[in-house]
Amino acid sequence: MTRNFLKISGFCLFFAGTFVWLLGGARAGFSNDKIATVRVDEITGIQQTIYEDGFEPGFEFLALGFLGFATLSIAAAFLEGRQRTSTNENE
Amino acid sequence: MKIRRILSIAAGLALGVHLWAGGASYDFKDPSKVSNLTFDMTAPVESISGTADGISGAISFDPANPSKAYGSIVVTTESIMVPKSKMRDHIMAKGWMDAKKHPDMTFELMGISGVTEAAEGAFKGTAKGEMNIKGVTRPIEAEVTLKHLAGKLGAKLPGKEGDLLVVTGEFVVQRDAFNINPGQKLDKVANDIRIGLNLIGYAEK
Repeated sequence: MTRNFLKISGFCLFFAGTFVWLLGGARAGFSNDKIATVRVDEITGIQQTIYEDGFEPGFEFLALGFLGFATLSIAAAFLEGRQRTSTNENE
Repeated sequence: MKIRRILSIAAGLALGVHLWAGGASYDFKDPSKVSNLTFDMTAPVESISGTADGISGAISFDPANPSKAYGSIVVTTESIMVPKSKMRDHIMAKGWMDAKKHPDMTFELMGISGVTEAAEGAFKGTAKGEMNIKGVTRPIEAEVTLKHLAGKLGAKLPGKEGDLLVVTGEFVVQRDAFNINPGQKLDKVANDIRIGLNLIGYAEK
């Protein structure tokens, strides 16, 4: 029961992390707390970047999702191994 | 300090002579707040990009003799913006830009070499001058394009007559050359800083 819960939680973390990262534009950099908007001045043709408050999730969401998945999968495997050992000892 | 004062006086005199000869002085304090300077640093771990829009200064420019352009551009350090607030705080701190002690960065333009007319009123060339960041002055060369928009001032500032001068360009500086945390955190903050110029000068008639 616990093993299954850990495995499902691991998958959920992985998918959540990947989903949030993809939603933020699948950027290679870390998260930003300012969103850059590019505008072009019609008269001069000059490009201008304006920073406004906002959140852009970065690569760490993907990494944390994978790390969570890996940790919980290892924990589930460890529990499985321990349970198998105790079953063998009882037999 | 003495050399900087002498250079400023010389630049001022040159500006005066240039204006007398037929050039105009373009004010780079942009009321429309479009002028900006961009920077990009690509390090193995992280790329940092940002802008600075606290621009002022004046350049004397004559479309009949663009190579004789003179003046200075000042950028306030506090106007630097990056997409991460914490990173901006680090940039302003003592080890990096030390914005409290060095509130401005200055570029003294001393002329443009190899000028070619790319289109009517648009000139390409290599701007030569001196850059002062964190109290360190170094000679700089930048590939620039100067676009003279005759009679277009009214389009930016309704009711006024005059010209616009659009300066775009790119150059690279090394942060260790300007004492910006030299040799530190090179995996996260690249030594090469690619700077882009997007400036508008206003000359009222």
